[in-house]
Amino acid sequence: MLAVNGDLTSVRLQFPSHPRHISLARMLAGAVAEQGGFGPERVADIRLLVSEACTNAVRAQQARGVVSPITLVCREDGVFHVEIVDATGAFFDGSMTDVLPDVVGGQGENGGFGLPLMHRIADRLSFFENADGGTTVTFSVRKESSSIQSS
Amino acid sequence: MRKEQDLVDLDLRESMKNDFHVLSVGGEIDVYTAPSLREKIEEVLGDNVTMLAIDLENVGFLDSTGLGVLVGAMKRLNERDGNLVVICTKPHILKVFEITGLSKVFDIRDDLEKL
Repeated sequence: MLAVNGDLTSVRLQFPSHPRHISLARMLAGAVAEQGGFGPERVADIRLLVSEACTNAVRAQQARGVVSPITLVCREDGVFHVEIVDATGAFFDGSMTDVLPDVVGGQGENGGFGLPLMHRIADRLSFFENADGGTTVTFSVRKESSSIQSS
Repeated sequence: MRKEQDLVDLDLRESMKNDFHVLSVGGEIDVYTAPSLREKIEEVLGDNVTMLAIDLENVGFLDSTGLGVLVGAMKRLNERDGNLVVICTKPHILKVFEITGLSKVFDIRDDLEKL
């Protein structure tokens, strides 16, 4: 289900909880950002952030056998705001960490880069536990890229 | 107008360049497409290959799932004293390697012709 306002400054997409649909979510977010005058670097950041957040949501639901749709809301008012809602509390059970995997020590093959990437790219990133036990991830991205420290 | 099929499929092509097996990837690497990349890499590495170059020049998007696949390939090659080279010049892809510290771990080069 897709809802778009007339001037494409906000969109709301509900999509089935399956990896196949994540490309649609990031394509839509990228289109709204481009329409809002965000440059190529920031559009790429937004696409990456949306993809990482949606991937976490879909994986968390699949791991718990939850089939509820994922909700993506994008809003642009000079700053790009995103909200992604799933039906699990995966961000609050301690299974996700902001620490980068130790690749030299043999970690990283099975993931672990997503949340650290999000923390380093988003200008603001928050996680909220919903009343129904689900998670809402919100982040915002300014038009100008802040200096990002490589690890 | 791009079709949904264009968004989700990877283009995977093998070739040889000097002593390197080259796997050229096209498309977007995410949680949906990464398994096909992982499978292809395993197939290429199956024949005791020790020199692999993965060309990302036609990749429009790479997320953390794709990074995991590349880390796995590097691990396989390290186990056999092999060599993995990543070909990439796109700033937004290189940024993903830099932020995660993987630009210091992978041998990233800017031109397949320089292998």
